[in-house]
Amino acid sequence: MNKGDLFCGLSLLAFAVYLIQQSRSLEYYYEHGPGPGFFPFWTALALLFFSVVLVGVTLIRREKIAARAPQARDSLRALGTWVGLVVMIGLVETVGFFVSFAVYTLLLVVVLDRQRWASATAVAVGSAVGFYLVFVYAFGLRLPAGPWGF
Amino acid sequence: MDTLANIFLGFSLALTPVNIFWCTVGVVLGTAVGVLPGLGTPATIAILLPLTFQMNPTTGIIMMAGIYYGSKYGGSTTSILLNLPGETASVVTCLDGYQMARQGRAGAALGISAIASFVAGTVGVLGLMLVAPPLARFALRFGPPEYFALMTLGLTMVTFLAGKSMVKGLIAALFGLWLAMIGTDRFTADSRFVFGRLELLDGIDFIVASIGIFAVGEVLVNLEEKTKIDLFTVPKGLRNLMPTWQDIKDCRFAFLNGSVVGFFIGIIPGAGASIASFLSYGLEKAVSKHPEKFGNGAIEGVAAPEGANNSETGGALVPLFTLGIPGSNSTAMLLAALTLWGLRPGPLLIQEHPETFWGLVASMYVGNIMLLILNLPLVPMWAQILRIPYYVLYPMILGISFIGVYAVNNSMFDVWLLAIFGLLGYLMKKLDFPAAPLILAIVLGGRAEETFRQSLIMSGGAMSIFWTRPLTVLMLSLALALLAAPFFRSVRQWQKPRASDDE
Repeated sequence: MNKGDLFCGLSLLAFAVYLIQQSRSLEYYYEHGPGPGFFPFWTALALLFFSVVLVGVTLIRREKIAARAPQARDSLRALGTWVGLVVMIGLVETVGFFVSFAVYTLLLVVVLDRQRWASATAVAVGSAVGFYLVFVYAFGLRLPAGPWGF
Repeated sequence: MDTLANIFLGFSLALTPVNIFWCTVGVVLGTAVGVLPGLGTPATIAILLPLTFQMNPTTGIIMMAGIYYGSKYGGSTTSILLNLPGETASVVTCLDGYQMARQGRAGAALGISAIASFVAGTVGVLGLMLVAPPLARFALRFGPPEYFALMTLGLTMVTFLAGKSMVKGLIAALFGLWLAMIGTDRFTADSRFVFGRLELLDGIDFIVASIGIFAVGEVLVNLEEKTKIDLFTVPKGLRNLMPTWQDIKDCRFAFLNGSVVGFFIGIIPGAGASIASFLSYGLEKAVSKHPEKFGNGAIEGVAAPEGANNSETGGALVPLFTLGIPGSNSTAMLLAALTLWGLRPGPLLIQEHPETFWGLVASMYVGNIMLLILNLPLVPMWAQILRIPYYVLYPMILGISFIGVYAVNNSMFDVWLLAIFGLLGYLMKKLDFPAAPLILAIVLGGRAEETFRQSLIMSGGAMSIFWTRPLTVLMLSLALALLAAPFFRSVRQWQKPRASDDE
């Protein structure tokens, strides 16, 4: 049995029930035709149906998962990068995009890829400067700036 | 005879040094924009629009249209090399283009994409020039039920095509439909699923969702699966990077398919390049002698959607110039530009300003040749991206994704959504849920709901409106057949072992 599919199917099932409940609070039909709750209700109902099918098929098949599952350490690399991205986004409004992005890149390259500090600094500063030249200087885009003006 | 005189007028304008220069600027910028994931064509046209106020309208529209169709050429590059679609229409190119790149045939994929784009792009312009008015009149007959049926067919086709499990594809599409419902209801102005956030009242921009799922999600998956190696080896030498004659021969039908499907779908406002590319891919797979190769690096799977994507631009300009109806964000920006230059897009535009329409048509022939020259010899240059170590590449992808998403609305809220969609993309990939149905559902969901509700308003609530109109019946029957196909296949597979047991 694929535990991932089972967990996913059950989560979607719960989500579909929540959507049905939410859509029922919207008007289903009004004087001119289907209301704002019509489409969400039927979409949620279909989602509920297919979630049940997914759970059912997963339970019936009971197939073994292919030995593709990555090690926990590899998953941590991916999730660590994502958490780092979230922290970077959180810092953007305080220190600006370029500083926040450069620090994030530096740490990613040093911690996750075990590159030397010199290479990591070159990648971090090079990409931040490159982005500035292309997007701010050439395209005239305005990106979130820090107290130092960039 | 009139057409001939007009096309001469067009070429006399398009071939002036000033117009050639701005056409070149447009197509080069367009290619660059297409290559960069996230920096969309409408945003670029919007940013550059103020620069064209000093130009005469013909020069201005030549440059703006150059960005529009040039971006279609560039859109395939990142789809093939990085599995990052530059725009939604390039999503389907990822399916086989990326697989070809993984097999060391990135150059052939890029080359065939450029050739298909040139052939279909030129056919699209020919169509725009010759058959625009009657076809536009035909598309005008489409009412809400036909639009709803067309969008249902498009969504079903995507679900049918993408991924191994139809159930997972349908779940992804339904989730996408729900995402498309977030925001203000267009009929009653009620807010739906906004969780108290004002930013969600306008809904979720599909660019945010697609960059999150494809770019950020892909980076996370790659980080997990390819710990210390580069993405893949770059084939050396120009000869290895060009498609072979056999490749070109294999793609003959794909060129034709892409050109015709792209142009006709382009004419229908709202249908867009995404449906065109998915439909032409589906058609190519359906008529192929080796459908099992699709999704595993079939070259026709690159040529057909890329051709359709480019031919669609010619079709999309038909309703814009003859009816004043834009079919997409990009053509909406072109409409805004024409209006700002003091022109009135609509049936009278071609009569009142023949120099603008025919100058544009002629410049598109010139621009397509420029793009072919720009893209074929530069195939090795684009492939060099693969030489970049992954630890250089993935921060750049994340940075461009941030900028691309932020540039849409200058909103940090969108950037937070990017992170959420990135995680969703990663989880979907881990659990084998196809992303394409979800993205197309976000793009089409709002319009699908709108046309469905308009149809029921038209019929006074009678569902029979969907089975009393021939075109609607045809499209919905096709969609139903596609949905039922996996069920019948399962029944047949189930019956086979029983039959052999009986023997």
